[in-house]
Amino acid sequence: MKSIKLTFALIVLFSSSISLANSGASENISAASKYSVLSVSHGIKASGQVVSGVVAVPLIIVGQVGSVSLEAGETLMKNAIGSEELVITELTITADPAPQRVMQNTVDEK
Amino acid sequence: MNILIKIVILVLLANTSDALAGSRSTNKLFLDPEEVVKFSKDVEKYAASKGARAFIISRLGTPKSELPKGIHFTHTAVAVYSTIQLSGGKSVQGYAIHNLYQDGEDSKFSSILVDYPVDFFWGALELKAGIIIPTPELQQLLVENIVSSKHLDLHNPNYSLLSNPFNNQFQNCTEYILDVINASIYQTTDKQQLKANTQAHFKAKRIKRSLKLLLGRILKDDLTAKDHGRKIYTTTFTTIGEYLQNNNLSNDFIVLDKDGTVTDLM
Repeated sequence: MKSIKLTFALIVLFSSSISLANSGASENISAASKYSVLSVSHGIKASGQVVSGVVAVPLIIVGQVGSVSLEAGETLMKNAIGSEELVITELTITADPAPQRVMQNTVDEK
Repeated sequence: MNILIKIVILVLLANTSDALAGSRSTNKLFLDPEEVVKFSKDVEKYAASKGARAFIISRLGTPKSELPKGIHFTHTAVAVYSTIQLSGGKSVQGYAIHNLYQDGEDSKFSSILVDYPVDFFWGALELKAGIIIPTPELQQLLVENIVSSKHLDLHNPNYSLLSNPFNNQFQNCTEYILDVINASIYQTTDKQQLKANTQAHFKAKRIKRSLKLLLGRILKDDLTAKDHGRKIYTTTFTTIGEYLQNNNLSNDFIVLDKDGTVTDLM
């Protein structure tokens, strides 16, 4: 009886802990990659806008890192970074999974 | 202990552990993919409209009702305006996001990985972004830090969900971002010096000890309090925002919702 009471108390105590994490629109994609989901999505597929990013290089306008003098650096910084609007691609870029996962997905699909 | 009680604890903690979900790169989707894509692009365009070369970005990967009081986001990273080379060879401009993610094989360890806004928000439970846009001067220093790969020197692969920002024993995603920010400000990657500065100037979020936390520590490999004293303190998106705000190092500290609503946190 004591065990049942304690069990019930624990259930009440943790009842608010039930996560909604498993009630999403799509369960674990498993072998299907995010890229595949994006590609078959009606709206996104129609626009042909899903691409993989290979490498990203930060844009830095000032001269070589470490080579700018303090005075020149202050001037260059003001010119380089301000509040002017930046251009953003309309493409949907996604990173490919790590090589290990890609190979594992390939093995699973076979 | 009664076997029945053990089973109940394990079952309930299986759900509780999601509430303490750390920083993972995931293919698990909870929302409509087209909405995720649109929101991700809205976040980019918001930052771009402010001319942000680098900004702090945060997402919600756990139901808000499950979060400790005062914590609004579960994963934080730094987004950098970049030229992105695509797989077809073309180059475009957009934001690349530099994250500390837990390793898929062993959640006690982490790696620094680059992804893009749609990847970042793919596993979100709610389309809501925390955004901190530093001052132009600090943006420049952040970009230089990343271009020179000094941000990699700041990485501690030993992961803890509630890592203590005042020492180097463990590191979570938000503490890592704080370390990158401070390394940029103080122009050093000396971890001892950075932690001394953090102790002197940074106000962390106190997490009160609870039964749920105690039981979570028993069953979750990535949750420990070994690096804490009597009280538990951790870094959050909000504490980073307040830190920069109090030092006049940020211009924007906001939450962007999927309907475009901007909530100012300053």
